[in-house]
Amino acid sequence: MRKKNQRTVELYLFPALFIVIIVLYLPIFINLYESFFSWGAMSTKHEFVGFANYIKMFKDEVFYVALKNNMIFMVTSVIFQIGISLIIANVLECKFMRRSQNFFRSIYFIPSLLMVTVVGIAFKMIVSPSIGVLNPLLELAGADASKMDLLGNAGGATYAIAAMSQWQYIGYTVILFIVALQNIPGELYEAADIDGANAVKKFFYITVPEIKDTILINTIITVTGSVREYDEVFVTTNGGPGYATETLATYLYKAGFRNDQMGYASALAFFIFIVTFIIGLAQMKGYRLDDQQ
Amino acid sequence: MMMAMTVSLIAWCGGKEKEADFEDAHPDVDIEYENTSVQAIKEKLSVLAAGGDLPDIFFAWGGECLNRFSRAGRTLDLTPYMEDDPEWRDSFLPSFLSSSVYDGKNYAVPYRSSVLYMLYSKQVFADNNLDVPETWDEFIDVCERLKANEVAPIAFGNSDKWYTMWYVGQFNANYVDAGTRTSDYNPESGAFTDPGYTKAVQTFLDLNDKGYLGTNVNSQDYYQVREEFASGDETSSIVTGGSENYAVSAECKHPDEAVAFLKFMTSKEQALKQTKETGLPNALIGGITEDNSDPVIAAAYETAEDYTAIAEWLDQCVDGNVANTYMASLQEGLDGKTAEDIIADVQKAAKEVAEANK
Repeated sequence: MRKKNQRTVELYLFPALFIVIIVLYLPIFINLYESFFSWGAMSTKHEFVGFANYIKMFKDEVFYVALKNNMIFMVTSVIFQIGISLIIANVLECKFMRRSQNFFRSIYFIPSLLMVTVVGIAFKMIVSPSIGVLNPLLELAGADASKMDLLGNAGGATYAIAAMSQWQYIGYTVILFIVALQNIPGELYEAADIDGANAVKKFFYITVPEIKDTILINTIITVTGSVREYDEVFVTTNGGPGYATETLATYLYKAGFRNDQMGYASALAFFIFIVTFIIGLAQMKGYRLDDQQ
Repeated sequence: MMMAMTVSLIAWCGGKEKEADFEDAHPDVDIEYENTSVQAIKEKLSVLAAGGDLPDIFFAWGGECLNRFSRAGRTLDLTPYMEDDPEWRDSFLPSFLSSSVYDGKNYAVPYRSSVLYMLYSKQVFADNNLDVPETWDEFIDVCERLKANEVAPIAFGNSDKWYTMWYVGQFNANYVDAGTRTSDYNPESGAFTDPGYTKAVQTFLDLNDKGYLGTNVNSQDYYQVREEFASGDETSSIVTGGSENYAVSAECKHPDEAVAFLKFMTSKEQALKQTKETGLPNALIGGITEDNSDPVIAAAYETAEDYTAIAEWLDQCVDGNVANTYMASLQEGLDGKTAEDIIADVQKAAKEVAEANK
């Protein structure tokens, strides 16, 4: 009887497993295999080069620029989409905010529903020194913005794009946090009140441990998302000026489809995979999701 | 009953309305047209070629953009068709037809052409008492006087990186002799060691350093700047040249029908109509007149018949890696990088490409 059950379980798992292997794992291995070759979509040559693509990657200046930019995205995303967003969620959950919570929740959430293309183009116009509204507003506030060109200068463009990304997605994690906060049993806070705990203590000793899983999931989403950062950069600066805002994903795309260096692009892709994989694994381990309850 | 033959076609503009006309004349052929954006078409064709799914007829700019297909044997040799129909061959502007020749064979036909011109606002020139410049020094003088009158001399935006290529491609043609350029633009032998390349970049950077290109050029969008020019806010705008070709895939199952469609598209009747309806110049001898085009363009094309070769768009006529390095470094150049460093980047990319193509 037990054996029969086992069979049924296997049978039910098979289709999903089959699809995951074909669509997810197989391409990863094909990609790894292809990264040891020098080849292009157009050329008929497919030559084994060993680790040459990886060596080239670690010697490539643009690769490090891209890596640094991904780190910028990662750090700002964690600060805003986890830290600040958790604070906003808590404030919205306060008793005195309950009545206006719906209003603010919508305000914060709506940007995340917009297409990146729309946000990117709008943002590009807003910060444009010639037709934008940002510089004149700063001038009105008394600042000298006449030389300010956010997306056109190599030093600040990445931060400008990262800022746009925070504006867009902070509401999304706020909503996820609010949902998690609402699931915390009210008795815990009542008990803490009786014990005389203040708001800060309640936050760190009740709220944070109770919504640990949500924090973990949000962190994994934002961190792996920033390693794969592509669309925001593509719409606003397309990696420019020069290579200043290039990220691993935009650089991978250009190496493969513009420069026709598919082998090199495969190596970059495998690097991105390894980084996201390790980050995901480390976070899971660190939080010991499986040990709960 | 005969089965309809399907000929697929991918291009970035035009063709839809012609498709219906052609199908009326050839009921056994079915044209499947797919439009792709100008930004995406090069990459799309690379992906399709890699997957073995090249459409029967596809669009390509002249130079390396097309040669990469010809070199890999992915395009059909059209020379025999041209030998069978010399009249068809001789109808094209020779300079534009020659840009699709690889290894002495014709691999595509130009259905459209473009020539780079600088436009100027008559109003602004009149307001500032300026004469139309005929030499480079006069041009610089005009820029200087406009700048002194606080008018932005050249409308320029480089948020998409290829606009620098118009200038540098043209300057390369001026400063580097044709033989050296041909050798450098070829991915197998590119070196870019001629001092003319550095001079070309320097000439362009000087325009920026002197402030003729306006401010914040790297975040200005070209189309936005062009609108400002058209509405009278700016003074002048540059419009080298290039052919826009149709090539037939080597894997095409119905090559005769595909060529018939090319002949139809490039027939005088269709070409005149195309230019009249879209304003986009065709590539035929006598194809652009004041009847179907603007007097300015017609005048510009009068000289085009005598060209023996055209300096193809720099971003299309060299290997993708070289072009992208050129564009990215030039963008850094507008932000302070020197001409020597820019050309050093290009040389490095060209060397890498040449090694990979050996």
